[in-house]
Amino acid sequence: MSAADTPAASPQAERDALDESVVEDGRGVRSPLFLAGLAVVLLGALVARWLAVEVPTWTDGAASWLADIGANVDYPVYAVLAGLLLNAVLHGAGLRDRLAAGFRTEFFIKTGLVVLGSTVLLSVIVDAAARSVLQGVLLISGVFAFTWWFAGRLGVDDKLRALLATAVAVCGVSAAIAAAGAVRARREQLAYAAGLVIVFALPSIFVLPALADWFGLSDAVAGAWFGGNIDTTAAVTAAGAIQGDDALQIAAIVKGTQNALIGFVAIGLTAYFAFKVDRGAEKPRAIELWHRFPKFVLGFVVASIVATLWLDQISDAARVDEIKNVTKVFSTYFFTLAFVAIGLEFKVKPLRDAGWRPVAAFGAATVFNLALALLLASVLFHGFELPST
Amino acid sequence: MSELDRGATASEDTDAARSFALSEDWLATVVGLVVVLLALGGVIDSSWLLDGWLGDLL
Repeated sequence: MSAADTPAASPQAERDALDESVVEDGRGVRSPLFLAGLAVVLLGALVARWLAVEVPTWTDGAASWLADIGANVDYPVYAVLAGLLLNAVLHGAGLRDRLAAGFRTEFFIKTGLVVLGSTVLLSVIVDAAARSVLQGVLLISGVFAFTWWFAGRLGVDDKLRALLATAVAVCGVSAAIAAAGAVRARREQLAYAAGLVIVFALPSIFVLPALADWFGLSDAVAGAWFGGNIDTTAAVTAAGAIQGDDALQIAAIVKGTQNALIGFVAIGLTAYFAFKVDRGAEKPRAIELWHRFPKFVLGFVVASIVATLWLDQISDAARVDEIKNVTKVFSTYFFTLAFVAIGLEFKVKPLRDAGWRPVAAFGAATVFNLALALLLASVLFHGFELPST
Repeated sequence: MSELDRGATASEDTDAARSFALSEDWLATVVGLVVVLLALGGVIDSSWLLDGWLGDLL
């Protein structure tokens, strides 16, 4: 057994195995190294943007396959690769973990999604809402139940399997953090779960858009598939951005809906552990639904409402286009920062530290999630059309 | 330190992580909405983009 699923591991062994950089608790933000970490993310974003602009011109006129690659590789790919490259350099220099407080993937992606909300027509959110909620409820229930059962069969500790099941079924690291609070998990269990999320999410950024093309999925179905099964919001956004603007809009709506359902999962876990596992633990309270509700989802909807109403009042089409362009570019800036940060956060250490049982449970759950999400997205978003803007 | 004590300490750590995640969530929401409002109001325009003065600065 590994340190992750051995309850009686020694305190020293736990400290040795603990990788805290993936799970930020705010203390690192007060460090001067925070600004240095932010500067690294900014540098990666500038390199990514430079490559996105320059590579197509370098490959123009080259062999047709090379020109195709240069013309079709989008900024999320360059951003993730820039993050991975900087990750390797900083790791080699022994600086990566010291600067990790500045790798604020969650902040960048949530800010970008709120800004993106202003580019999504309110009617699209309304049209997609019912399908998204239904897909979210079915997917979360199915994937959580499978992961809980399968990890139990492998003998994974109850608290760790609650974290793994919540992370893979709902929304990755932020869901694992919510579940850790609900079940009173140990910090190293949270670090392992969060690390596994990132290790599994990163390849999906590249693999899923390729599979979506291979399956011939429409943009709406592809977006719903990405939003339903990729664990982290940042990786969902990256895959959606690679697929195209329409897929990105649907992916953001579907993922936002799943994020919004985390409160119900956290309350259910709190109740289960309070009444079944740890009878002395704090009982769940309804106010937790609000506390755990992801506020950026509200921001996304508010931005869409405000922008839809505001732009309706402007008769000058050029002015409307100018505003839409500015908000779209600003959301792209925040996304680029997030994609660089997720490349910087990637590390294989959690795979080694967690042992084979949590990794096998998480891998099997990911495959199950892929299949169930594809089925649900294909049924629920079949024929869904986005208005041309 | 007993197993129970160590568990309590670790839970405080995960509570701190959760609390920080929630405040970061609020901050991202406010910053995002401010950017949207500034863009709608015309305070931020295309001159702010990387091919504008921001690009020249960087």
